[in-house]
Amino acid sequence: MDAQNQATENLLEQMAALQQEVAELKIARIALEAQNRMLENLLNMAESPKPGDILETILQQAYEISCKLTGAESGCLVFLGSNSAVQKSIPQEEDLTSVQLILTSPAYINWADNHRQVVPTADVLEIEHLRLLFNQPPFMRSLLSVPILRKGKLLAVLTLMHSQPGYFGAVIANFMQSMSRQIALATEYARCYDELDSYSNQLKQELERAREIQRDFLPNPLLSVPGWEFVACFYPARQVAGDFYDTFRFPDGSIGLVVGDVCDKGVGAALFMGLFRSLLRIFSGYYSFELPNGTNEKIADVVLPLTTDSELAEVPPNTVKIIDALKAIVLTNNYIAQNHERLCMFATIFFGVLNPTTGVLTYINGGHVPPIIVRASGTVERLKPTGPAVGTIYNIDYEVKRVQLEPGDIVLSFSDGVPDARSLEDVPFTENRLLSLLEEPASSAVSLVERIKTEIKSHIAEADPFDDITMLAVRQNLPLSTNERSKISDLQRSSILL
Amino acid sequence: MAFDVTLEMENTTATITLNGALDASTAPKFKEEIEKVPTGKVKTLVLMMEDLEYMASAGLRVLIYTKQKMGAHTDIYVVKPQEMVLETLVKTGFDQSVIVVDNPPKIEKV
Repeated sequence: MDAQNQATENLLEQMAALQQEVAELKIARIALEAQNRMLENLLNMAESPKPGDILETILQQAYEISCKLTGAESGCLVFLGSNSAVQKSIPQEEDLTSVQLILTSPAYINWADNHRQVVPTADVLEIEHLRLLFNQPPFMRSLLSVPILRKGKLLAVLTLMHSQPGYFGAVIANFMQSMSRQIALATEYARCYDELDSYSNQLKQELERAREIQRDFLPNPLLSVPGWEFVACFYPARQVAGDFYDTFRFPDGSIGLVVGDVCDKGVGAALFMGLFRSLLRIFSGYYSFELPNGTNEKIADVVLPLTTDSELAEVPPNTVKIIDALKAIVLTNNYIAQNHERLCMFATIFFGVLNPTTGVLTYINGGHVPPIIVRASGTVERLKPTGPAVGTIYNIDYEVKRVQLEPGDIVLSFSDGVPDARSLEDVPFTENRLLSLLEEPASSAVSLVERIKTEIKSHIAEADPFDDITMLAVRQNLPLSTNERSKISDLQRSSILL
Repeated sequence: MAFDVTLEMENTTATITLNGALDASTAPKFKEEIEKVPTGKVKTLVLMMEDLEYMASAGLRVLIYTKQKMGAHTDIYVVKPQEMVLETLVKTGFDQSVIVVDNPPKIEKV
């Protein structure tokens, strides 16, 4: 009989243990489901983030889920900042009732922190410093204080309340103990995400400022010279670019034309873009074209063999000054190769000086993709490199070449981002396609550049930009007919009259 | 496009085989391999480029680094570059700093 009783007792004990286990598993499952819901929402929010909102939304959800699962009638969730002061609360600060305000007080937070575990208070009237909670509506009698801890640090304090004394029993307390770990995890993820998000926004803003500064390094507006048309376009692959173009006028009326492409990508290339662009302006004598006191001083130790094009009718009168200006390439090359050798930075640069009166373009091409001359007749010529990329080899010579531009001719300089522009299928635009676009005559430089831009745009479609895209086109306008001349002088006369 | 780089050492010759697209994102891998080449010992550096389909300026930057690191007494061979890569080398003048060949040089026996 005793043995039978013993067996029954054992069985009952086992059943009780099993029931306990099942209850615990149920709690664990509900807590896990709640965590899954929070994490899923977190991921959904991360996909379409509203800055700084994720932590707040997660706290709101944690609070709502806890109230719903425990049947709490009121409560408060306080999130603490790194200095342990209240950083956020649910409900939000402005919506807190005077009872909830007590739950955000340092005294209460300290009390919760000291317990470091879920504390059910059966009746607030029995605890002196909590009695106040019953003094005013909604007259809460029982309370469950849930510290949210992560790696021993108090992240937040969740407090659940109910008007019925003794409402929060051991089962709810155990459940909230599990829940608190899930809330801690979700909160920590959300906090990290918000931190990353805010850091990434700061970076974006910094890059946006850099982009504005870089834009300022480009000539705006482009030069306006009677009888000539200038047009440029510039599309950085990232916020900032290594490509650049420049147009500037020397005091004698000559025009400096530059298209450059600094190696590599991103911020490093952009910093060097500013350096290359400015060195060329300064070394070319853009700011001091006339040498002081009429001296014939030359920049020493630079050998520039001038290739004379026999087809050119005559050597322009200011050839010496133009060659001096083009020495900017040699000086820039030496400056970069000597002072920034360790960084191995370089740029491919086409630098031409145009005499707008004679139409002679004198140039150095430092390893740059050859600009194209589209002659008014439709034939195409290339201005091939006359030396290596600028900054690669110290003290190297660059050949200076000249070409005669005629009315209707267009010089198109561009960066390799044009032929290298990639489609969604990673197919390059190619130089052949660019050349095929030049076959049909263009009535202006702007219409030619627009034609190329449209084609590149449709080629790239939705693909991420592969490289910076830059174009600079110059066209010598056709001489005006007598009829057009008289129309213009009529206009000028009418504007004077106005 | 994927990128792969391998380094082999034999006597005084280091052979680096490049495969795929050498651009801003893959250039650091190439540089890592160059860094492994012992400068004092190596007299010939061979860059096998037959399977290198594309080289951006970031790749050329590593070539300058290579030239600087190996010094004037190390010959750098570029073997069988594809048309597009060769064009990039010629256009930028890098073909003057290396020896462009169709077949790798014979490895010197010690």
